[in-house]
Amino acid sequence: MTYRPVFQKEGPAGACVLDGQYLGWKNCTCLSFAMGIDKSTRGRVRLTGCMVRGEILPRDVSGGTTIEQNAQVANLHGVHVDAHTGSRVASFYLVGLSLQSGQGVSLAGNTAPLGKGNVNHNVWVNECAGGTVGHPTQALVYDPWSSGPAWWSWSKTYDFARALHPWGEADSRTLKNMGIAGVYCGIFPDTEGPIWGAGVPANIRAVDPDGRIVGAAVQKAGQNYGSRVDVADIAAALRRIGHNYGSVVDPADVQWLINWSVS
Amino acid sequence: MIEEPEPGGPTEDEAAQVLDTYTEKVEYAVVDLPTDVRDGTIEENEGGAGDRV
Repeated sequence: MTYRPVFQKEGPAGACVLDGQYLGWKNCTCLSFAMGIDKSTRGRVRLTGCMVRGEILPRDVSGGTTIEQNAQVANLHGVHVDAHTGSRVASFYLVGLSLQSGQGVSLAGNTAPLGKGNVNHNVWVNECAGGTVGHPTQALVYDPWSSGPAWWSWSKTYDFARALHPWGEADSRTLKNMGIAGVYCGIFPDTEGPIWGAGVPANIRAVDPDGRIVGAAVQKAGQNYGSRVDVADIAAALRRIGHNYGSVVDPADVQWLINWSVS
Repeated sequence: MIEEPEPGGPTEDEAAQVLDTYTEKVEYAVVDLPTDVRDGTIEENEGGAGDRV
């Protein structure tokens, strides 16, 4: 079963006060990312939305936040988020494929189609169900402006995303009324399958069957492994932190790296 | 408690295989869209009705 993060609810205003600014109603993207980081680390990194907001650099305590700002925070915790914004919007087919492949999505949109007024908003989409490849029928949505996770129809999810006002709510243009099929979102890593690269020996895989603990350690050492952890990534990580692994990386070296990362 | 949908649909592996070979991952919008789109403030629009679903 897909890992499900702890639901995080938006508000009240005093739920997040930074530098004297009351941000509790202005943190939906931060809350969405906090839930995404929870899923992507399978609960190893649990931040509140306010903590995510507090880690945005440069400091920004005015109004809402952007997907890019939050993606930088996720990266600080070893979670690479593929940001699709601006002219590089994501097709909804990609969103469907990503969800079906075990990746969660921080999805921007507007709450007008939900009957909640014209508010640019962001929800965490944890997984999907039904349908065909790239075209699920339902999505499990963690909407911070609700009482908990709920299954939305795929069409409702798309309506929400395409209702985004890219130039702010005061500007009447939406993705939909401009005829743009793509959506603004951040696509998170696959948390549901192993992340070992194809050439990694079985004795090294045995140290950490899904590779995620080693992946986090490699990332912590400052080595970006991309989407798959290879022996070369581990070797580079070990070199970065000054561990002499000899001529080849063996399971003991990998265990040493894990121990270093949690120390 | 989340009410679960009926089982069905493609497996994760089936979708991942398509994703791996899917080259049109993004849609380059014709309109010059901004990247720095901020989410809005709920309380200014709905009086902070955070419990509404």
